[in-house]
Amino acid sequence: MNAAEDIQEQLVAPAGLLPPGIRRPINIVDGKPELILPNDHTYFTECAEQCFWELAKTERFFRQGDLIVELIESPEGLKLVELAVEAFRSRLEAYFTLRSYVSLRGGGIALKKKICSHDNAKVLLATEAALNQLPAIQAVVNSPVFAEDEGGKLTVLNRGYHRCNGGIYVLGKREINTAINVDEAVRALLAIVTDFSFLAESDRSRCVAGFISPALRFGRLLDADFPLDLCEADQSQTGKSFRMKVISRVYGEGPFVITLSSEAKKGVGSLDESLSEALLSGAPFIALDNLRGEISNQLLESAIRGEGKVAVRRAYSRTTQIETDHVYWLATSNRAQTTPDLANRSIITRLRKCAPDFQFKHYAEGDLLTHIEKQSDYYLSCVFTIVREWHVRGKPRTHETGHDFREWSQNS
Amino acid sequence: MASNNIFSVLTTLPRRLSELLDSCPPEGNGVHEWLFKTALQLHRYFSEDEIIELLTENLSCARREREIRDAVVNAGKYFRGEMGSPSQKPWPAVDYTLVHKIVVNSPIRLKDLSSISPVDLSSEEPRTEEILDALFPGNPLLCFGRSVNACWTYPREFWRGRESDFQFIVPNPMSKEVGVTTDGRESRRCLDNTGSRQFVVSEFDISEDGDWAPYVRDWRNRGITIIDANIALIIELTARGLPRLPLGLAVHSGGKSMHAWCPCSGLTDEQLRPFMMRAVRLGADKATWTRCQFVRMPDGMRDNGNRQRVHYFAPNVFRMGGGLE
Repeated sequence: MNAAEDIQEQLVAPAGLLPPGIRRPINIVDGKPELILPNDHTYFTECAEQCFWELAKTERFFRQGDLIVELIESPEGLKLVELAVEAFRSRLEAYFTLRSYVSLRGGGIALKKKICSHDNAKVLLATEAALNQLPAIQAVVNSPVFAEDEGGKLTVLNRGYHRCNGGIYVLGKREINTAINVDEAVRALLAIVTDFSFLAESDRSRCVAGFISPALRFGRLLDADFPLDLCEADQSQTGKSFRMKVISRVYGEGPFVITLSSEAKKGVGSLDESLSEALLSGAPFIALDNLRGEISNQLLESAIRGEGKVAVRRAYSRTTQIETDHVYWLATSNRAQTTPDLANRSIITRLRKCAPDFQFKHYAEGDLLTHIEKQSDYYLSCVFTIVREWHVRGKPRTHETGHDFREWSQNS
Repeated sequence: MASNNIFSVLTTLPRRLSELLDSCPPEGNGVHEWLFKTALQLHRYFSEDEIIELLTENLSCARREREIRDAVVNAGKYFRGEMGSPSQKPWPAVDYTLVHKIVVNSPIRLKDLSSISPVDLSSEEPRTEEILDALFPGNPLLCFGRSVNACWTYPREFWRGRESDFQFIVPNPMSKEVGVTTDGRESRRCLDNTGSRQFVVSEFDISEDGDWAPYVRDWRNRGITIIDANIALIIELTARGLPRLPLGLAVHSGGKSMHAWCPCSGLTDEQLRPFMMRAVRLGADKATWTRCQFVRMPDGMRDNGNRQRVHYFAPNVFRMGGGLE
């Protein structure tokens, strides 16, 4: 379409009005929306309303609790980070043509190009408009999510931002095969765990549940608390961490791994800070690797089963309340001594070390993890097939009462 | 000559107000606006009669006594808070830098406008009748004018067949044939007998003098005429930014401007005023915000003998009204 055709179409497009709360007309200057910076002629609120309304449309800036966050590229992929004042000043330049009213010598005022001062940026970030206009976000996931719409119908949240479930951003596009039948899906998921040596048959069941549970968690299909998925082994090299990786790879994820120290530590580098960082990153899988010694952490316990919200704080930042019901918690341990509280918050899968001469299954792609990575669309389709069937059947439940997480155990 | 009493107060006026009083623009450059603006400021210090005396003495050209008196009386109503909303933002100043960028970078000039019009306008015959049928379906009361002071309000069907003989039209249906003005006179064209706003009409008030002069010179050097500039601004106003209204009609004034008609039925003044503020910032005449303001009759005949040619006509957008995205 050439420029004239493009204009021809725009000229007859329906009227576009200012959104509620925005009082100042919006002009396009140098190809970007003009933002008139606050000063004696422009109120902070006036500027902030337009600023954050425009930034909300980019689907790059969000509100997490009462923090303003930005989705940025990192070596681990896209993640949420708090938007610092310094960064905000340059982001404004990227998205707007910044101008400000200046008084003229001969009287009157005129608009001139300006950069946003540190003070202005700080005040803008602290306005109510920032919190009101920016969409909420909890999780950033790589794969589509099954969720229920307002009518309770199962729907797929595909690539992009979705307001439901506290705000979820789906980064990747996956080929979900809806033609897989339930029997095939069950067989495929059971086949994944054939190389693991379980202490008891019930451990196998809990392990398989671990592949399906994240789908229920991310889509809020189960209105219940989810336990910490703890994998225990009698020895090292039994495949605990491997299992954790396999589960997250089905969903196209890599877990946010926290290594716990047995020494109680506070402040910078403490477990609280690591947990805060993990929760604020929006990562869907948080893994506590190699728990050793006594684990007693109030934040962890509250995050797994509390009020659904915890107060978190990044290093050198302020505390904010964020929701935790988007996280699937994983943990591995050889001999963790947990508090009774944490034990009650866990679902434990026990593994045995395979015999030295055990022949692991070989896949065309290499080992199991590589196979899952390459075939993750297929395995995610299998998970979705099972979830869809469970949903179609009206979310049937068992009468299991042997666990504190009754809702979860009756469905899983 | 101002009386002694006025003279003694004059010496105590703030410097800015004294300067304003001494700076009546030349004829055709905003004398009417100056009358009102200055009267509004002077109400703090003088009686109505004293203000009329002062304004008359400082005028740069001859004006009718009634115009001066009306400006003073109306300004007094605003001064005493009897009219207008205190929260309403004043009209913005023209943003010449922005206007210049828009005009220079626009891909559409006068010669291109007809080619992007949804309706073929190549015919030489005036299409006023057809256009008014699209603008005002049914048989509403319409106010036509041969001049600003010679106007009549009658049903649409009364005018059929002779529409193009007129210079002016009120771009909104009228509610009754005669209304009463704010100072109690009967009138065939006043706010009292004008119906709800159906169209916002913008006309860019670009002249070759004053603040516009350097820009107009620059455009001329680039081969851009004032009419081209008008078109660039109309396109900007209706195709980009917010609020934005679809363009229904573009009418050449027969002089040096273009009138853009944008349908807005169903939208409130509160929703529409920011659109007009955008227009005014781009140099539009704020006078057309007044519902009963005359605008150029589409394909009508100007008193200088020029046809007020229609260069763009999109009847579909009238059926859409102020339809929102």
